[in-house]
Amino acid sequence: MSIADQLQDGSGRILLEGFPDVGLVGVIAVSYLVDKLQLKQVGYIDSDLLPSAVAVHDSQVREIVRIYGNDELVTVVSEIPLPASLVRPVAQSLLAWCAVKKIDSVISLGGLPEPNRLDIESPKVFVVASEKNFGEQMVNKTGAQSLKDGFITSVKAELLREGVRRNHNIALLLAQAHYNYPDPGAAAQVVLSLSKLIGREIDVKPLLESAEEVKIQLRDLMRRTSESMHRTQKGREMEAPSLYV
Amino acid sequence: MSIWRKRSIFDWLREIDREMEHEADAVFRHIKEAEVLSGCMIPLYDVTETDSEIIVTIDMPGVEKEGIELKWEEGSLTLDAPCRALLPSARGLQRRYRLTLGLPENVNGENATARYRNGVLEVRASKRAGGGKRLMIQ
Repeated sequence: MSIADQLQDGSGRILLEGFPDVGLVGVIAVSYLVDKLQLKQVGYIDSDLLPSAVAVHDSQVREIVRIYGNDELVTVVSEIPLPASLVRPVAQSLLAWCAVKKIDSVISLGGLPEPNRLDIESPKVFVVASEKNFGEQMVNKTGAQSLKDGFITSVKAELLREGVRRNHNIALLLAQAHYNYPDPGAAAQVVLSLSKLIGREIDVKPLLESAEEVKIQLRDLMRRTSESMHRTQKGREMEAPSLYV
Repeated sequence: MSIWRKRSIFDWLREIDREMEHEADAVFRHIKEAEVLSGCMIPLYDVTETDSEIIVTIDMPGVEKEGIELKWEEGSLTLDAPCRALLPSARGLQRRYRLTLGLPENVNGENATARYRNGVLEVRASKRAGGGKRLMIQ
């Protein structure tokens, strides 16, 4: 696995992760931020375990796992769900790369599967962090709730685990979301929480106004992501942990 | 002379990934082919079963509630709905959703209810009470 980039080292930056996952919340939120904040592509992730595929946007060939950034934020997005065998290597390589690039913290954006999502007008956002003080800071700054009990799986779990081991600040911002339908409403809530964290107002009205278009555009990615989530035991996120210690 | 190379764990992982991708790809290809042949979008859907009812949800953004045609026939649910013209329709497909779902026979479609909210249609139908013999606990 390799990460190629033209990003200058510099402290104080945050990495936002938005790989395809529950409700494609991370994909929608991060793509919206890249567009809204006009972040430039600064690199990509490559691996032998990635399928031989490239994306074509506006007649331009693009890598499928791309890194965007500026002096304040760095984001990583993928056109495809990560193959199960790449989940751990990607998490480990990303954190090793963050250490080299002096990126202080990683915020992973995503959805928390909510079976009653249809009856929820404004999804709640929850925080899970690799370290208690960092988690409290996140709760205070974003106004999100701390997730008390539950399971986290896939790349988000690996980031948290590696964060604890490497003493790197990692936090998840998860909004209640449809499990297998693209959920721009949940993504908007995550963006709002993030905007409080970085102290920069981000208008989510355009995202909500284009929700129908976004949902239709992401149908195929959602189908593939749903299938991939079965393989990474994503359904566990609706279960409670078994042990009480 | 035979050339033997030790397989690494990554070779195994690649192989497993490839096999699963291959199976998934076949399913997605069939969906896309069905869309092209019918000229309609096949919406994302989910079927959940509880003790007493079947809950079908269908993600179909850009639809007017009044335009949804929903039919419950014995063992299947058929949906036909036009999608708003202002939405970009994928690759030359009509702006229309169409779906037929096979459902268990023990579902009573007569009293099914449906609601459309934030682009998601939800259909609920109760299961017919089964016969069976009540067992006494000793």
